[in-house]
Amino acid sequence: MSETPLTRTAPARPPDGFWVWHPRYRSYVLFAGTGLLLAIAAALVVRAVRVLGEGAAAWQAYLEGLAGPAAALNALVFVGVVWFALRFLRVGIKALSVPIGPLPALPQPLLWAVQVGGLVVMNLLIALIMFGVIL
Amino acid sequence: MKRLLQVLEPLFWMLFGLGGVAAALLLPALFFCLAIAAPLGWISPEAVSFHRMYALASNPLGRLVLALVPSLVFWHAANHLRHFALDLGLGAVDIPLAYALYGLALLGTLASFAGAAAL
Repeated sequence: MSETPLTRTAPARPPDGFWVWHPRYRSYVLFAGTGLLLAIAAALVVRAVRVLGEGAAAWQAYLEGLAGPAAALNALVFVGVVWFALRFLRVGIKALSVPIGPLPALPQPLLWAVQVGGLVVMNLLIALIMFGVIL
Repeated sequence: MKRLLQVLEPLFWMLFGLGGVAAALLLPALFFCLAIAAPLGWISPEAVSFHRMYALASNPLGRLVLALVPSLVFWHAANHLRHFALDLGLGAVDIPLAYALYGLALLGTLASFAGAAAL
């Protein structure tokens, strides 16, 4: 059973021209495109784990292999991954800032603080472990 | 074939959400350290020595993180790329593309768990 909405809305229509010329579409579509960068980053993590399983010599070769021009490519992937993380938070805040069942909507500043805080704390924790500061 | 994708759609979106959270909360630092900082020598050799890295990765928590994070990110990426293709107007090839992308995510998941289990 559906009710007639009180507010009249215009029918959905695609933008004129190609999406690249519309900033809102550009951001949205490029965000979807970061899937490729995430897959590359995840594949490299898997490779690092598999190399660790092959022994010390393989691990050393892995580190040396990524020290060359590959580092520049990895830096580009890293920029994409960070942009994805920040953009993903925006989506999360929008998704959570509505009432869910009997629960009231949480204030957006609180959602920002929790999500940005979680991102910073978790990534900092991993970096501190990897840099040998803790553990 | 289309029916199976429709049945599994909620599962794909759940994995998409979990993968997004994993990618945002854990992947930036993990990727930065493993792909940039360690190879370029920004981390001390002792910290990235084989024995320390192996000890970190091979404990139960390390194995769990290193198996789950890439797996979930692969599923997130597959679903995101499928919808990226739809945005680009490739709806005519949605079904074969979806099978290819989710198939690659499944292979990535198997590789992640096999890698973590082999440590």
